[in-house]
Amino acid sequence: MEEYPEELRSPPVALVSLVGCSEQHGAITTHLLSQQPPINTLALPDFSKLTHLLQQSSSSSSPVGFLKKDWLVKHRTKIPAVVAALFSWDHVSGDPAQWVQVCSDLDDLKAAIRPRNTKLLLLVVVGKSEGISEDRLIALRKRAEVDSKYLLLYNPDPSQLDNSLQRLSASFAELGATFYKEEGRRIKARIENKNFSTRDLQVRYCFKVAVYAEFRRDWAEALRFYEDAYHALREMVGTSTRLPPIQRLFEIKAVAEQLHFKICALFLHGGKLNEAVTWFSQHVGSYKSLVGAPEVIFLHWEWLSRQFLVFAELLDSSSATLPSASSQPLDTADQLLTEWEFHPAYYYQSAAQYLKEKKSALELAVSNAETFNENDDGCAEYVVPSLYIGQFSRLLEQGDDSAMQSITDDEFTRYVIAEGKRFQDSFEIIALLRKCNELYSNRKAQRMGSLCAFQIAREYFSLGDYSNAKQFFDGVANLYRQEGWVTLLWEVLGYLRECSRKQGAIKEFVEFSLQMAALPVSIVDSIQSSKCSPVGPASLEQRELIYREIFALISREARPESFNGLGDFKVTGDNTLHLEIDLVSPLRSVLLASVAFHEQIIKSGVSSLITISLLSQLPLSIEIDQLEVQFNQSQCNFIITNAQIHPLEAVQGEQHDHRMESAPSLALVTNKWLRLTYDIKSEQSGKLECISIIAKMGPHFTICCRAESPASMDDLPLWKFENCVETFPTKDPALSFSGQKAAHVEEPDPQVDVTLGASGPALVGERFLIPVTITSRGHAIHAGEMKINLVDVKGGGLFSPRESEPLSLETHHVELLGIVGPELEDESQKFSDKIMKIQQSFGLVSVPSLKIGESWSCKLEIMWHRPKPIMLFVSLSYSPISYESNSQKVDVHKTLQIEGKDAVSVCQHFMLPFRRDSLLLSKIKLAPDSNQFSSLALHESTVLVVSVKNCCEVTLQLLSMAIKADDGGTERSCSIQHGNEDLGTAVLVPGEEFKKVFSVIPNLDSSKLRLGVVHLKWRRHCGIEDKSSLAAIDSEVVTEYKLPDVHVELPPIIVTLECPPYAILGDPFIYHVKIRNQTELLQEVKFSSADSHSFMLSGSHSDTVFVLPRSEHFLCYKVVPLVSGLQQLPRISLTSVKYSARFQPSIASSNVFVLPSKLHCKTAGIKEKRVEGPTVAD
Amino acid sequence: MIVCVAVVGHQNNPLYIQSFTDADDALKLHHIVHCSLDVVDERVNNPKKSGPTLNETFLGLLYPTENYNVYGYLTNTKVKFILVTTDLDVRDADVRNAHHKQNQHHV
Repeated sequence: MEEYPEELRSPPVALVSLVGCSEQHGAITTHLLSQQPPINTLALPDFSKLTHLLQQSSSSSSPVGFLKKDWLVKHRTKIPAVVAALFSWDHVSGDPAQWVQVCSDLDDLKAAIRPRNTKLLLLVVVGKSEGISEDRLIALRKRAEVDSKYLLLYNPDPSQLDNSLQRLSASFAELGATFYKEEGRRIKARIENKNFSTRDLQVRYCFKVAVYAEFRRDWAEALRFYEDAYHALREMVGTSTRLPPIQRLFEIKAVAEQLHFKICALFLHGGKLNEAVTWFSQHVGSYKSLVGAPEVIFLHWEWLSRQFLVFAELLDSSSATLPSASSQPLDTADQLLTEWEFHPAYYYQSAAQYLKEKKSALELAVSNAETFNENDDGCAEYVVPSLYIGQFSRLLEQGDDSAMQSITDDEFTRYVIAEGKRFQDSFEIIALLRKCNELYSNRKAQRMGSLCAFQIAREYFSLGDYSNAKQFFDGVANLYRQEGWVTLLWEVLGYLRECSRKQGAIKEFVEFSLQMAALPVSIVDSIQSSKCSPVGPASLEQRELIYREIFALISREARPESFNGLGDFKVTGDNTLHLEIDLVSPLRSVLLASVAFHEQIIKSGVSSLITISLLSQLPLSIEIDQLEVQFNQSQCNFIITNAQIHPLEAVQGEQHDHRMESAPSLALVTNKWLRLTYDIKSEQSGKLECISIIAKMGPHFTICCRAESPASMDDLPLWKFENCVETFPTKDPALSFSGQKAAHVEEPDPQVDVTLGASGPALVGERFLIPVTITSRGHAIHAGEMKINLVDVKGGGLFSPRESEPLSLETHHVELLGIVGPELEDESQKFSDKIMKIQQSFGLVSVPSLKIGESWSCKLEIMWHRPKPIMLFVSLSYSPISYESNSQKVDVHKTLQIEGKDAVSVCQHFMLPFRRDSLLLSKIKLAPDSNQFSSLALHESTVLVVSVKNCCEVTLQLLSMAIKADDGGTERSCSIQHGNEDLGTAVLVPGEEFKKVFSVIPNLDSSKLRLGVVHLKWRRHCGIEDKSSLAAIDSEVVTEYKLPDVHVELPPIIVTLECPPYAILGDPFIYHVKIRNQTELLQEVKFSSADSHSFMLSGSHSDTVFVLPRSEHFLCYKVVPLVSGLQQLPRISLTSVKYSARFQPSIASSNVFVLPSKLHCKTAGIKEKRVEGPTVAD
Repeated sequence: MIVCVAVVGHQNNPLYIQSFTDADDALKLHHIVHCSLDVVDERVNNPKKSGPTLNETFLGLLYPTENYNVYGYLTNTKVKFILVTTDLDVRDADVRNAHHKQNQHHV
C-alpha cells in the first residue's frame, strides 16, 4: 500500500485559496484545517501568483492514456475550489488610487478564475473601531459580481475573530461543495450524453466524477462511479488498440488496480466487510486469467501479489475499526465466504505465494533475455514513467528540451526485466510470510503458521542462508513429527539434511539422514514427485539409498560416485562421530534399547540375568561391531563383541577394564528385536540401573542409546500408526510388560550375632544393666558402630516429660546413663579413641575390630525414673571387609522390651497416744470424708506408722529408713523421734510389708506442716542362686517418699482416761477422767456416762463442770467389774459448751481386761504408769 | 472434481491420504489437508463462528485456496474426513453426501 501515492491512499480534501492580506492567512489556515471535514488552504501573498497558478495547460486533442498521473494531486494541491480575496478596509475605503488598485486586482482575479469556474469569496479585513461604509462594500460586491452573502467582514480583533472565522469556514464549505458538485455534474453530463470520442475517456470521466464526489464526501456516488470506471475499463481489455498489447494490458491493470483500491477502501470505510471481500475475489477472479505475454508473465504475478498484499493491508488496518469477521453473516447472495477470507493472513500468504511465482517467472525471463539479447543496446536506460498511469515512454533529450516518445513492446519488456532484476524478491517474500506466520500464531493456527515457516525456510534455503533456514525447518519438523505427517516430515528433513551438508555439519547430516532412513515411508503412500524434497521422493528405495550413503560414509568403504557433495566429510581417527539418543530423541526409531532385569531384587554377589534388546527401523540390517552396556555401578559394565568381526580369543588377549562377552551375531534386522541375555552380578547393595548402551559401528562411529525399561517404554511416535508386526523386546512376554532397567541389590546377610542379655524387670531407681554381646560368626567386623535407642512401647517417641507432668524432676522417665565397657579389657585403652556419644534416649558407641570368631560385649546402664515398659533398639553397622570408607556396610538390628517397675510402695498413717484424746476443732468441723490433711495436736505426741510393701517380684533387702527434712524448717516445726535408722538385714519377700513407727511432736501451729521425706535405702537381695545373673549394679538404691503435709492446731481440751491396766472380777478400782483446759478461758464441759452391764459404777452420771484456765478437772468413778474378759468401761462423752463440740474417747481406749481372779504378782504402781513410748502396733 | 481425500485420526495424524492428481501437486495437497485441520480445530473450539449447527458432522467449506476448495467432516470419534475439490462452486449437498458415504465405508 505504501507504494501508492498519498493522494490515492487518503480521501481527497477540499482546497481553497487565500489571496491578499497575507498576515491573516495563518489564523484562517489553522482554523480551516481544524474543521470537520477539514479544508486545505493555499495561501498566496498577492494576486499575480494566483493568476499564474490557474493558468490552464493546453489540452491535447486526443487522449493517449486513461488517467493522468498528476490529475489527482493537482486537484488536491493546486486547483482551489474557492478563492477568497482579502482586502484591507483601508484600501477599500482609502483614496481613489487605492480603490483603483483594488478594482484592478479584482478584475485580474475574475479573469483568472473564470475558465475553471472557481468560486469567489470576498473578505474585507476591518480594524477595531472603523466605521464601515455600506456604499463602498456594495460597490466592491458589484465589482466582483458576487452574492451579498459571499462578501464577509473579517475582524481580526480577538473578541471578534472566532465569529469571523466561523462565518468564513461555513462560506468556504458551502462554496466548495457547490464547486465540486458543479464540476461533477458537468462531467457527468458528458457521460450521460456519451459525449466522448473514445472509451478511454469514459473511464476518465467516471473516475473524475467519483473523485469530485469524494471531495463532497458523497461516498455512495463515488463508489458507484469508481465501479462504473472499473467495469468500463475491464471491457476495454480486448478492444483497446491504442498501445501495443503488452503495454496495453499493463496499463489497464495499473488503472484497474487503482480503481479497485479506491472501491475496497470505500467499502471498508463504510464498514461493508463482506462486500469488500466479495469485490476482491471478483476482482482477482476477473483479472487472474489475464496472464499476458509469456515473456512478461512475471508482471502478472507481481500485479496479482500486490493485489493480495494491498487488500491484506487494508483489512489489517481496518480490522481495528471494523466489527470482527465472526459477527458478519458469512453467506452472501451468490457466494459462500469462510471466516479465513476475512483474515489478513490469508491474503498475505497468497501475496507471498504469487510473489514466489513472480520470482521464478522473472528468473526464467532474465535467463531468456540474457540468451536472446546478448547484444543489448542499453535503450532501457532512457525509459521513464510517462504522464499517464501505467505507461512508460522514452525520454529524448535535445539540448535543454526533452520529449517523450512511445516505446515498443520489446523495449518495454527489456525495461521491465531490467527493472525486475534490481529487486530481491526473496526478502519481500520472507517478510510477508513472517507477518503471516505471526498472524496465524496469534490465531493459534499452528499448522498454517508452520506452513508459512516452512515456506520462509525454503526461501532462506534458496538464498543460501542455511542457519536461518535450519531454524525454521526445525520448528516445522517438530510439528510434523508430533502429528505423524510422515511425507511432510520427509520433505522437511530432506531440506534439513541439505542444510547440514551445505554447512558441513557432519553429525547433523548423519542424524537427519538416519531419521529419514528410519521414517515409516512405504511403497503404498510414497509420492513419486520430483518436487518432494532435495533428497527426492519419499519412498523405500530412497530410504535405502540414504542408508547406504550414510553407512558408506561412516565405514571405510569407497564412496559411491552418486554421493557427491560429501567430499568434505571425513570420519577418521581424529574425527569420530558420536550420536546420543535419549528418550525423546527423534532418532529412537534408528536404535531403541530396552533393558530388563529378570529379577527385580537381586542378592549382592549373586548373579542374575539381564536381557538387552535392540530394535531398529532402518530399511536394511545393521551390523554392530561392539556393544557396551553401562550401569550406574561402573564395575558392572560389560562389553559384547561381535564374534564374526572380533573373535573372543582375540579380544580376551587384550587388556580390558571391563568384562568381555561375545555374541555370535550383532546384526539388527529391520523391525526385529535383537535380544541378548547375560549374567549380571553386583557386589554393592542399592540400586543397579542400566544407563545406556553404546553401539559401535565401524572404527569411528558410535551411537549412545539411553536404556529404557520395557514396562514404561513409549511407542515409536511415527511407527505406532503403521501396520507392522509388533514383537516383544523379551522372549518372555510378561517381562516385556513388567521388566525394568533397574533392580535393587540387597545387602549381604549379616553374619554377626548381637545378644541382649537382660533378665527380669528393671526396678525404678536402680541402675539397670543390660549386657550386649557381639559375636562374629562369619564376618570380621570393621568400623563397627552400635546405635542404641530407647523408645516408648506405647509410641509417642522418646521419654520427654509430658505436659501433664510439669513438675517432674527428671527430664526423661527412662534414661540411658552410660555404657560400661567390656569386663575383660582395659577400658581406658580401648575407649579412648572411639566414638562414644550418649544422650538420654540415644547412644552411639564404636565397636572395636573383631576377627571371625571373636566376640565383644558391653553393658548398657539404664535408669527408670517412672515405672513403664520401653523398647530397646540396638543396631550394629559394620563393614565386613576393611576400613575403607566407601565399602559396603552391613546392619544388624535387635530389639528388647524391658518392663520398668516400682520396687516398693510406701504409705503412712497417724495414731493418737493411748487413752489420751485432744479436742481438735478442725476435725469436728470438717465433714468426715473431706479429710485432706491429717490433723495433729500441737505439742502433743502423735504416732506415725510408715509401711513399706515389696510390690515387685524380686526379694529386697531394706537397709535403712529415715525421715529427713526436705528443707531446713522441719527441725523447728516438729520433732520426730525414731529408733535406729539402720534396719539390719530386713529382707522383704515379694508382697511382704514392713512397718516402722515414728513419734511426731509438732512445735508450730500451722495449717500445712511439712513433715519431711522418707528415705528408704534398699537393694536387691542377692541370694546364692542369683549371684551369677547380675542384673543390676550391686549398690544401694534410695527410694524417697514424701510424707503428706499435716494440719497442726492447739487442742483446747485434752481428755485423758486413767484406769489400771487390768481389773479383777469383783475388785473395785478407781477410774479417772482428766479434763485439761489448755486455754486461757473458763471452759464449761458437760459430761455424761453410759451404763455398762459389766460394771457397777459410783460417781456423777451426768453433770456440767467448769474447768479453770490452764488447769485440770478430774472426774472420779469407783467401778466394780461384774464380768470377766475384755470389757468396755462405761463410756464417758463430753461436750464443750463453748465450742459446741462433743467428743468421746475411742472404744479402744475405754476397754479393760477383767481377770477372773487376782494375779500372783505385784500390781502396785500400775495405776501410776502411763502409756508413753512408741509401740509397734500391728 | 475431487482431487484429494484424506482421513485424519483424532490425534490429527494422517490415517489415509489419496490424491487424484499428478505427483507434483500431491505434496501441496498434503499441506492443504494438514492446514485444514486448523480450521477444523477452530470450528470445533468456537462453534458459534461456524455456520452449521453444533451437532452437524459436516463442517462445510473449510477454506478456499487459490485453486481448491477444502471441505471437512468430523465423526463422533473425532476422525476427520477432508475433501479437496477443484470446482470452486460445488453444491454443499453433494459434498455432504460424499462425506456420508465415506463415513459409512469408514465404519
